[in-house]
Amino acid sequence: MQIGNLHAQRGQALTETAFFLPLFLLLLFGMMWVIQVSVLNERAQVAVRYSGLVSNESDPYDGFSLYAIYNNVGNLKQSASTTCATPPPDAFTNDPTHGAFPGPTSQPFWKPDTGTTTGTCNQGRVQITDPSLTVPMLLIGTDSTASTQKTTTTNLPSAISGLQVNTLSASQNFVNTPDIASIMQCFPQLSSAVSNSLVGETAPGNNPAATAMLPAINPTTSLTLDC
Amino acid sequence: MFVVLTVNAQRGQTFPVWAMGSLSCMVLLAMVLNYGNMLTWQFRAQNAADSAARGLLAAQTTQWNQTLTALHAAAIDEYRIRNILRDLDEVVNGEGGCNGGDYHDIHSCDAMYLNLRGQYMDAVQRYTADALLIHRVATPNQATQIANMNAALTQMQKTGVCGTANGLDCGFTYALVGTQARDDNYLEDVYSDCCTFVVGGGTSSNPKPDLTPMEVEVVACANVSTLIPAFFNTQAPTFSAIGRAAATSIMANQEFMYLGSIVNPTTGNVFQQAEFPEGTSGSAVLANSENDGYYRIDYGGNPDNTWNHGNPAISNGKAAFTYSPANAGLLAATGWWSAMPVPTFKGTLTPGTQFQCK
Repeated sequence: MQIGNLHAQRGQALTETAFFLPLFLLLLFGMMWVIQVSVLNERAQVAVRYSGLVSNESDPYDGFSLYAIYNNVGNLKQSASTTCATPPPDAFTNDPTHGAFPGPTSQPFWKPDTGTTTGTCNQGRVQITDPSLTVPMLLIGTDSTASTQKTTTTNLPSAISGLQVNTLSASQNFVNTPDIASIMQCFPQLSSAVSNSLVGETAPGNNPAATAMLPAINPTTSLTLDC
Repeated sequence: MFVVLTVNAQRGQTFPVWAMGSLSCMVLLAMVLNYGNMLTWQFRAQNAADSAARGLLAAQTTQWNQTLTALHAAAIDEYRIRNILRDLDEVVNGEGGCNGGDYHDIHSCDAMYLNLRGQYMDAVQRYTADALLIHRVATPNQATQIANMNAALTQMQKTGVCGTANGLDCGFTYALVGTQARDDNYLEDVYSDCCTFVVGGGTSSNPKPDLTPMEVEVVACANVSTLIPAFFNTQAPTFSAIGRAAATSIMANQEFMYLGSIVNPTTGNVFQQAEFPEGTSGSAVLANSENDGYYRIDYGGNPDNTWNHGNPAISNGKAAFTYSPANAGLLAATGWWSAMPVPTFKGTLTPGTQFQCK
């Protein structure tokens, strides 16, 4: 009887191992997956930061210069001059090839799926005209979005390898001082006065002939903001 | 026998080992998940704070850029007025090549006088408009700018505005925790030039705040629940994602431009072209360029005026040029303002007092 019990307990370890091993492997796999996802999520934030905070400071000459004023008087109208850089895929791959992210190239484990990285950069003017402001505020907004995918390793069973990360993304709207072209185009009273002065008289009577002296009380009303 | 039975009975007792190992892995997985989530939120908070800090300075930088724009327009008209007055003096005295005929003759001093008078009145009118404009855009002082920053910050985190192209990241509550006039020795300030000229009645050591670049510091904060808040009745606490960022107004570009000499690549002409106020056609009335030189307004300095030497300026059509400023050409020396990130300066902050978390 006792001998029979001994035989019945043989193989119990195998049974328990067979029960727990898949769970254990699944947990280990899950940990790897979470680490990959976390790293790529952080890189998505870095990508939008590069787009909205770093790269749009790169060209002050077009954005902030007399050149911008002279190209917004008379019949001239300059297009948006502030850089709107699309979040670079290099931020995800850490690939130093393009020079944007110097450092060692990421190993495949840390890289997103090839060809799945996308980024957008939309630039626009932000007008804040609420009465709580004594002067309306004009800003340049750089709305950057970056996203990518990471598929799990194909060495795992199909039910698991089918698990995909579809929404590894980041989005941020970076606001900044408006460029001179935007100031010229969004404050019509300023633009009109400056245009008159810089262009001068193209024909007799193009500008008002009557001379208005400085009034006793100078107006302090803020300029109209209208883009 | 009893001993043998005990040993055999414990064969296969791997359950506790596997159970503890699996449990440890589950806990570790939860911790890794939460930690990754926490890091992502920290990055996001920093981005949000950087965006707000830099953007708020537009209250100062835009005002200054508007002022400089209007000042430049006034400078052009002032130069124009001075030249027209010179021309008026010449035609009144019958100098510079105009003849003594009546005003029907465009070459007569009378006709030129009438044209110059009209141009003078219009230039004064524009100059007046520019002066009024400067008064309007230069009114806010630093206290008003800070009030506008706070008001703008409130607007940009309102429901319906935040999360759009017109607002900030909805995930956070923002606070302007510090403002100060920039006091440093590593960024060029506006208050003095090479010769210790100080604007606004301040001094080099004590500049006037309203004319001194500002530094602002912003906090973006959110209380975030962990992704796995409960594990075997263990309540994981929420964590605070806090972004702190400071920015300062900075002269993004500084220019010294001879407007009548340097060619604008967009138009192919010099930035500020020569004018002929003595006539109505926009071109020289007198064919003789030597005579015309007495009336023409040349913003690069009039090379045909015998009183001028060192002209014309030589431009290569690009940014660089060669110039011998021997006469009254118009030099625009200015700078344009934007914002850049700088290190935070407020030291230790108290949550709940100096800033709130969403």
